[in-house]
Amino acid sequence: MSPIVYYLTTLVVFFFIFAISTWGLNLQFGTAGILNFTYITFFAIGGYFTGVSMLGRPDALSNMRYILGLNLPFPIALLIGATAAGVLGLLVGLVALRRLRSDYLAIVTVSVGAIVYDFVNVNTGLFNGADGIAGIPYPFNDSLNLDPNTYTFFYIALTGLVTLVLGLLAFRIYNSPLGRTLRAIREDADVASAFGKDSYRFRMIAMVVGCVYAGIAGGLLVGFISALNPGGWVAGETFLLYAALLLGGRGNNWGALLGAFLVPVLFQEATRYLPQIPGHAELIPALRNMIVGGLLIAVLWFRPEGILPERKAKFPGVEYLKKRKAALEVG
Amino acid sequence: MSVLAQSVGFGLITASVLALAAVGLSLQFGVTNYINFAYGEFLTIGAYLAWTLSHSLHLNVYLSLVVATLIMGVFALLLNRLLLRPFTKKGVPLLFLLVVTFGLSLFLSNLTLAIWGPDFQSLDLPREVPHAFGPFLFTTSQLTIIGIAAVAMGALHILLTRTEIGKAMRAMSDSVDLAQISGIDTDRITSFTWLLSGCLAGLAGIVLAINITSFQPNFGGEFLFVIFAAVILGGVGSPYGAMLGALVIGLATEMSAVLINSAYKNDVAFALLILTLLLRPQGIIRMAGKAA
Amino acid sequence: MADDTATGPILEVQDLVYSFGGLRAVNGSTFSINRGGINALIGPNGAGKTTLINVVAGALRAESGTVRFNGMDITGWQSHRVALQGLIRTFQISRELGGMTVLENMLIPPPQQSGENIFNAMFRPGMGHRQDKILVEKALARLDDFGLYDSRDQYARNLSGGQKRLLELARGVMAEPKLMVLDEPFAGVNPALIELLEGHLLKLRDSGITFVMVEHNLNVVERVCEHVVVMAEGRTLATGKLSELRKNEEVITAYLGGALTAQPKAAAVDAHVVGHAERAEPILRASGLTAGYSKVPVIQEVDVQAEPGKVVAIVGPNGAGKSTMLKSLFGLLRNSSGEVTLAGTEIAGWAAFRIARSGMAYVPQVINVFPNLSVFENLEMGGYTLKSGRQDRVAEVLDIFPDLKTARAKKGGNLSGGQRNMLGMARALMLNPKVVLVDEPTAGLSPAYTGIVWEQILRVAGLGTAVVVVEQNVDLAVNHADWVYVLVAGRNRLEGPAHEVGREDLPSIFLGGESPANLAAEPTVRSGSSP
Repeated sequence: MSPIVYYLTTLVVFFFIFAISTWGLNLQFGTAGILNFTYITFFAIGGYFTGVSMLGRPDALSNMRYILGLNLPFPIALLIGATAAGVLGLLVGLVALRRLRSDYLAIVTVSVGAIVYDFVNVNTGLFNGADGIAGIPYPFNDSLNLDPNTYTFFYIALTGLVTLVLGLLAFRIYNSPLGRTLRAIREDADVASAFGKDSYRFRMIAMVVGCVYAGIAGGLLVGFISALNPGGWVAGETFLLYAALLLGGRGNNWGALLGAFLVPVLFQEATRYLPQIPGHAELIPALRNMIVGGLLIAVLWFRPEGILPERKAKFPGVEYLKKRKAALEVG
Repeated sequence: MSVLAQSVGFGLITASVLALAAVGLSLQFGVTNYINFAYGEFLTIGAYLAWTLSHSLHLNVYLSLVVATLIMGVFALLLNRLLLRPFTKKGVPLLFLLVVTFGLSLFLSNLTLAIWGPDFQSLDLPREVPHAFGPFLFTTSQLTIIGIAAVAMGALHILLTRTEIGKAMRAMSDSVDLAQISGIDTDRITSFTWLLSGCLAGLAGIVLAINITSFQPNFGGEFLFVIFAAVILGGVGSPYGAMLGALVIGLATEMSAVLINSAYKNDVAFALLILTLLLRPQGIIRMAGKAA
Repeated sequence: MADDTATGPILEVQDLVYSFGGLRAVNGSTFSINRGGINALIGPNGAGKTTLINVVAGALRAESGTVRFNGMDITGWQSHRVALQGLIRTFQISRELGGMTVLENMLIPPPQQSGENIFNAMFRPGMGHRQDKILVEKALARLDDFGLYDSRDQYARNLSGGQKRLLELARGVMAEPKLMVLDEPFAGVNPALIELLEGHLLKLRDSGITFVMVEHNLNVVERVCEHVVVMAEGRTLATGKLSELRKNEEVITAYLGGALTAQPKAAAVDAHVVGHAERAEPILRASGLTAGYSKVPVIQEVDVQAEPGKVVAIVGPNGAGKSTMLKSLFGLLRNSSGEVTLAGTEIAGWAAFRIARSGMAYVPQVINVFPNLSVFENLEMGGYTLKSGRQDRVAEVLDIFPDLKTARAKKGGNLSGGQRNMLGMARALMLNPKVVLVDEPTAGLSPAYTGIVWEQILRVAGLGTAVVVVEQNVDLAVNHADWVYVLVAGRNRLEGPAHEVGREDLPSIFLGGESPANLAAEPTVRSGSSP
């Protein structure tokens, strides 16, 4: 396979993974107004748990230390990863969602992010510390036995399928009465509770489901690159997703999809292979992150609703409209 | 020297660093009523400025400490004027204002990386000599840190209780409307608060850098949640609460490091933060009129 | 499920208590509301009506006492649980969900939406959509009924003030309530709309919903409410029909601060000056003042002036716009228009701190001290702009308020209500202002302290300052002020020397009734002094 085809197929997989992440963030931030500043941590937890569930028992040969090691097939491992991310989301929600001010939740998430990062690095028995886990088997390839090139196309199909399903569900949630109630809570939680909505419970649903999305995205990444270490989920990655969502259009799943293409894929990948400046290996990534941070602020100043703003709900096929129209024509 | 006394000594040093940082964050929150998530980067930049002044420009270490602190104050003032104030004047909701400071933290941490590179640097004070005080043993730089914090806290106390501008800051923290009615130019006080917050952050970053002996561009950001823990434990918006919170967190983390395991220092701070939020969200010192 | 055919009162409130800091806003209130009909909850400002609603609806937690709804003890329940039982409240200031369409606003309240369940939302979307279809039909019919049909797809934030009030009511009905508690549903509603809104209320009543509404417009109460509960100082004062309550001495005293003894004359409707008195050259002159919050003007074309050394009192029924007028004078409201001159300088549109620096001071009603600052520091902040002699000025001001002198080291937040009001005034005097605006200095104070506060006000005027006081207690205003303005529904109604105003038929202005003129929805175009 030519390098350019390899590069493009990789990009497609990344796009799918970012799309899932951005949808999850849109459920939390765009729909329910939850400020989760460490979204990437839930992504990483999903990835780690998926990875260690697929790996066999740690042995001297692999020279890695980690928990579980269950040798499970990918779908079950992914389920474990998603559950782990959801459970962490639940715990964070238990502490922070009772307070209505968004600062408190943001503080808790920032702190949880720092603590989990620290914890994973220090407790090398969990996920092999700073070196991270590696050598995770390619999902389904023990029975498929595909050559690497063909396998990439298989994985595109696999992630594409998951993305399709999760995308469908994201749109369904947004367009459902649940999505409507979440937006009502985002607009004014007091009013929502005056109409019988338990805003704590509803926000918790958005928190957990959003984290599950992150966990699945993390699991899909681990299945693709067969490894994960703390260097792969630094705080900067969360910014990338916020920038994507805000630029694309918060509160709009099409906007989230567009943002996932524009920021993490197009912009990030377009600059990833810029020539390194000798002796200043960090310069290009640093400049790239500065642009992402600047972009975040610029979008909020110039077009806070994003490229594709949240749309008004439509209710097609309503009898009343027709009757009313008929009445007008007669009158 | 006993292990316990040693840990109390370390606790005092950490508390000193933390107090500088926590008071700066808390003062700014009290006056503007939103949290600055880029505050950790203020600490980082302060330390790097002091490093550049002393290492590259060969300024005296103490002088570069003062100059870097002042530059950080002006830096914070300008950030408010050019970026944050326009957003607040526009009436941007709190949710988005927090995202702005969050984006700013990414921008600043990478600016630091671009300018100073990823390598470890260190800020050294000349002549490290051990000094004994009863059961405690401190190095010169440790004593300097405690001294700086003590002087700064004393000066702050005088500022807040004796001077016109300090009292106006407390007044604004109580009620912005009533402050305006009283003829206080709230824009000016807000600017001054950012200046002060920046100075304290810069100074905290410098003493933190001295204390941990070597630092990298992300060291301030990583310290941010420990600062949050101190601020929330003490009572959000209360500068004296922040001092108290810093003392508790400083002692608790260092003593647990000696008694349990030094790897879990941060976890202790985190546990205290979570416990505070669950059990007493208004913190130790409750500010009348501040929403918990 | 509660039994819908249950008899007995739908709402029973027993000995309910709730305090803010030291102030007992609801202080042992007891009353019950029978099924069916529209009931009113009335009372002077600060009687605790809105707080009571918040406690009943679960937004605030009662300290003691019980609330029974439909035979069930709901004391201490969270608001969403209360709502699910069929007790729906509306808000005093319209709380539309601005980023959602009008139709979507209508779809939030219906209970038991199966599509709110996460599994149904993800895996059985048809369920939610089918239910939505029914709800949309209902909502559109209701919107049509309320004249909001054409606005159905607008963002709710873009509605006019009056439309927002209509939406507030229409949306509440979508929750299928048994009891609706309305907090000032007619606040800021123009006369044409009042009639419309009344019609909707009556129709909804006939459909079986019971209403309790806090309302200041007693003409509306007269027309639509069968049963009235009067609250004062956190307690239930009387219950019955408005026509009877109007003659109730206690009620008149609660509203006016004392039975006015003079033989009342029938009040004319046009704004006018009563009696004949020369006024000195004013130091503060406001004319054509129109102001409000968001899009609703609370005061319209109001004229007020004040002269040095005199006390001008502003009185009027609740919701007349008295406090709004003071805020507008002091540059605290963005949507103000009109002319304001202070000692000959045009100050309209100035920022509050600039007005404070040019010789006018303001004592707000609620947050009038800095709670975490000592009395001494509070006074220093009042004199913030003094270049020198601040300590001397603090001493001078403390001489005027001996009560504060002994408490000078106490924190503002630890003072009693009366002391706080004193401190608020003392703080305002620090800059030796030419004009002081005081908002309801006696609200919530014991009668003994009320006298002391007015003594201080007269003393301040004695120093040559012009004092403008908004006073709920008409009796106090008439007995102490030099000149009294009566504001009704955001406009000048009458003005004159205090003793002359005291001879007017104030009870009918405040409580409605007797004089047929008051049954007109609004005063007609004013014909008083020239602009």
